[in-house]
Amino acid sequence: MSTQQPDCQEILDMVDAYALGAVAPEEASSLEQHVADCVGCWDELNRAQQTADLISLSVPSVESPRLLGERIISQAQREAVPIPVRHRSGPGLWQRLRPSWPAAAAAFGAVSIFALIFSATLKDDLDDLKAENNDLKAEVQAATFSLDQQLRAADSRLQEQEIITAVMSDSDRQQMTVASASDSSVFASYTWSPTARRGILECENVPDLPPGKVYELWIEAGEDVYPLATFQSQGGWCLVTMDMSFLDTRPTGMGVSVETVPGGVAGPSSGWALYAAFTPTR
Amino acid sequence: MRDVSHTETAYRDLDDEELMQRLAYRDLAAFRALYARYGNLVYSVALRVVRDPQLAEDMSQEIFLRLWRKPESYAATRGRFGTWLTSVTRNRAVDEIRSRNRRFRHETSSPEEQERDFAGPENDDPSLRAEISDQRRLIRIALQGLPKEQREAIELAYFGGLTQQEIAERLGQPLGTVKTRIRLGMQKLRAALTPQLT
Repeated sequence: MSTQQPDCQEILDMVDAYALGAVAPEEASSLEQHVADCVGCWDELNRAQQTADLISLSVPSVESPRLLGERIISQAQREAVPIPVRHRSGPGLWQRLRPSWPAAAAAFGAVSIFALIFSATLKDDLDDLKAENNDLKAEVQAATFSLDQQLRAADSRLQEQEIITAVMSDSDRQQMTVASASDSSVFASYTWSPTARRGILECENVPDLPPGKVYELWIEAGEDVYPLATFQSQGGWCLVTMDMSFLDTRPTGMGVSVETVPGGVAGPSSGWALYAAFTPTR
Repeated sequence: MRDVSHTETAYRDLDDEELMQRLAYRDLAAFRALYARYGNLVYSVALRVVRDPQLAEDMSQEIFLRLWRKPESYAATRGRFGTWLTSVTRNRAVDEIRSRNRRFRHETSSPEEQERDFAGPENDDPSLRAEISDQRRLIRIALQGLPKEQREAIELAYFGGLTQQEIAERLGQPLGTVKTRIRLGMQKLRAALTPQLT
């Protein structure tokens, strides 16, 4: 060690104050240089830092303002909305095939085409799914999205397709019609796998919502209701995948409500726009 | 309308790491659960440092939204989630008062005054999980077990954001005395809290 540098004992005398953030900048700098090459002092610094971190837990509890939590949750919800909306619903089939669409939209359109066809027939096998998946990946690579958008899109599609795969590969999967409370022209069906505890909601002729509102999907388990996803229909069409694996009990039904964004932090704020009760499993 | 308070119930049994894993998938219910669990504690830490309720609210919002936007910022290797979250809050709050360089640091009251100003109920926050509450109790006992001068120096450094030199000036004590108080106090704390260290 250089004679100009503090020795280990000097450093050890300093680690506690450093961990508390109480040393002068020049002292901090010399300590940091020392521990970079000294395992023993680094270990002591690490223990001092852990001790200092624990002090933060000693503060007396003060109740935070009630509106603070609502504001934080609402902001998080606002930021969460674009993801399910972008990946879990899409425009009509003919719109998606228009050649003037940018390549990026084509990638999303292809996802929707795939999901629609696959869900409608209910008989496509897993090989087709994998092949389509590969095509989608190629399309994503060719798309002009920003890197961040591509990563988010790929991740979302992968999750969506994993759910579709899990549901469609379950020979005991169940499909039921989802009733609209007010509009008989709405067609919606719900396919779910009791084994995988995952499901798919498809709908047609669902009214598109005005700006500021979203559909929110809820799952029922006895008297409990759990939020699963928000989405918007486009051209009356929607496709929503859902993961219910966190439920300890068997779901008994699913419902869709209309919520204001931001909002809906506590639960469905209106009656069900769509609802289906699950039939008991064998 | 249905009572959906049970939504939180479903997540109550999940530990912090499981909730953080769900946050990576933009699970808003998991975020709600984390806020329900740590909202008061984060606010309390921020308030203890900045001593301004509005600024403490801003700090809390920033901390939680940063967690929501970048859940990968926490790794289990960094220690227990609660400890990590509160120390992040403290660091951010101290950075804030230092950058503002205004009345906070010079008006930092004594630990006793801060206790009186901001002390909550004797019972711990009921939203916290038992292991966190137990840990908090042990840390308080350890701090209370220190000689007053040592505890005062440590808390002025940690919550007041003061350097040893500034503490010496504030207390009218030689710098060497302050350094000794901090070193001895931290050594005793470390010994008392060894089981809590990872």
